[in-house]
Amino acid sequence: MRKFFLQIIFYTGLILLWQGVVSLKIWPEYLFPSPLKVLQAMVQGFSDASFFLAVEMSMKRILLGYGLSILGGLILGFLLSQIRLLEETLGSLVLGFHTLPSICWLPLGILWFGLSDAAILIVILFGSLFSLTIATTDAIKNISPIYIRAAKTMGSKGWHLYWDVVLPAALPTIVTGLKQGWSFAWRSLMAGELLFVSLGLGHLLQMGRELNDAAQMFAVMILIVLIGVVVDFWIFGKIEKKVRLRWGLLEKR
Amino acid sequence: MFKKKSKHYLEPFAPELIVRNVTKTFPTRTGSTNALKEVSFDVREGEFVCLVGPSGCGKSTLLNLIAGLEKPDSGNILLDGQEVIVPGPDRVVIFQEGALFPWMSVLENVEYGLKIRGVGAKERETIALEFLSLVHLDKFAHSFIHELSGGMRQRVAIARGLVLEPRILLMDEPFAALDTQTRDLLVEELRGIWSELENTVFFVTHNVREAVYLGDRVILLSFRPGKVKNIFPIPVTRPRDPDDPKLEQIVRSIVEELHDEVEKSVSEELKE
Repeated sequence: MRKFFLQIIFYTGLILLWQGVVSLKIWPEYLFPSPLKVLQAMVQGFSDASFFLAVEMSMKRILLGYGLSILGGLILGFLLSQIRLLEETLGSLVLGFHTLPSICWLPLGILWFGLSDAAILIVILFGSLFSLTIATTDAIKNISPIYIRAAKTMGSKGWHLYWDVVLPAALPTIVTGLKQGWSFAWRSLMAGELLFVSLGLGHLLQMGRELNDAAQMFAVMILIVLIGVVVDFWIFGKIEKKVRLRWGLLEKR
Repeated sequence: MFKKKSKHYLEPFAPELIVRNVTKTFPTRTGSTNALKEVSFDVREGEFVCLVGPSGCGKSTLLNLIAGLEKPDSGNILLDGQEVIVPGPDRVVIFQEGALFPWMSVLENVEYGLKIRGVGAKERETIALEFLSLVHLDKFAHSFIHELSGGMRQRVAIARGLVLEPRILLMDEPFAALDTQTRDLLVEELRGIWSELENTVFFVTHNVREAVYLGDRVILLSFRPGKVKNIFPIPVTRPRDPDDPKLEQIVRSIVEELHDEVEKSVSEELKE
């Protein structure tokens, strides 16, 4: 509760400060808009449906791209954790690709698929696939061995052992990986959308630049932050906390 | 409610578990540690055998070997004449930390081994609830593990092991992490459960009093290499009084022998 009030005070202060700077008229308003102008741009964007369309477009892309990378990351991560030869060979390649900023895939994507969704999808996929793979491998390799031993003495093996014990035991770390993978995917998407006509949120930002409409750009950026925060804290944060509590990794307050 | 294990032996002198000349070493930085050396003993059907020894003498290693979680360098372990190779539900282990699965409810934990065995959902719930009531936790069937105290967790672990009706129940210091009062309570309950079900139990502990109170025999392992130093029969009829002077006498003689081994282990540790 204390934190909530502090934050209200902080953001009110920030907006007042922002208004104060605008009032000094150091920069013209089309470069540095007032909070009210940004709010108007936000309302305008939603009332002419352009924001809705952009959010919908971006969300469709990220759900597909992130969904694919979850699937790929879990499978690849699992295989890397189980097959030593694979980890010693493919593992280093995964680590290498993980360090490559995902937007670097875009030129190749465009070359292969043209200026299409597939090019952006590649960027999202490769933006989060490797981090999810690494997180899954680590999660499985760091399972407390006592769970496996206990399961084995109860006769669990093969499919049962993996599905009932290994995966659930690794889940808390995997969820943290999913959260991190999401933010990689979200960043990759925005970067990808900026670079060509794509109708998503990133494209909307680019349009703002072309129209010299800083207020609209501020509004879109705030929207991007809000979506990121909502998914990160409210969806992944809540799931993560719930899992960690149930797994006994958090002290109950 | 529970079917009692038959005490009628087809071969009266054939032991259920045979441990013969078992040796196990572990690699270390400076070479290898001789954890167990030529350990031999038998466990008869329905017998409660306790294993005591100084810490680091290979008690848990021996239990893991019997469980099939590790393999001996040489020697044999036979259960009903069959060589132990892999872990299995005929030799369920109850670990010190319980090792319950926090992603399952209490009931699901107890049901798990039955599920693996292919018992139907309805039937395994009935059986699991029976065993939960045996450890007085039927009211907590739908609780999650993180909601239970340490003592309750060990009860669930005991129910989860017993539900599989193992040939031998392996217990690896199951009460060592509990406070004294909870521990005494659980020792008493384990005694009660055992006298009802008459399972064969192999019980590792560092608490001599606990071992003497519960066991038909107490095996004392020496410190590095772990060898069978002595086997003490506990010829006191049940129900036993924990303050029985006869038990006290046996405790004293075991502690005396154990003391030398503990001294060895301490001086060894100081050298390292």
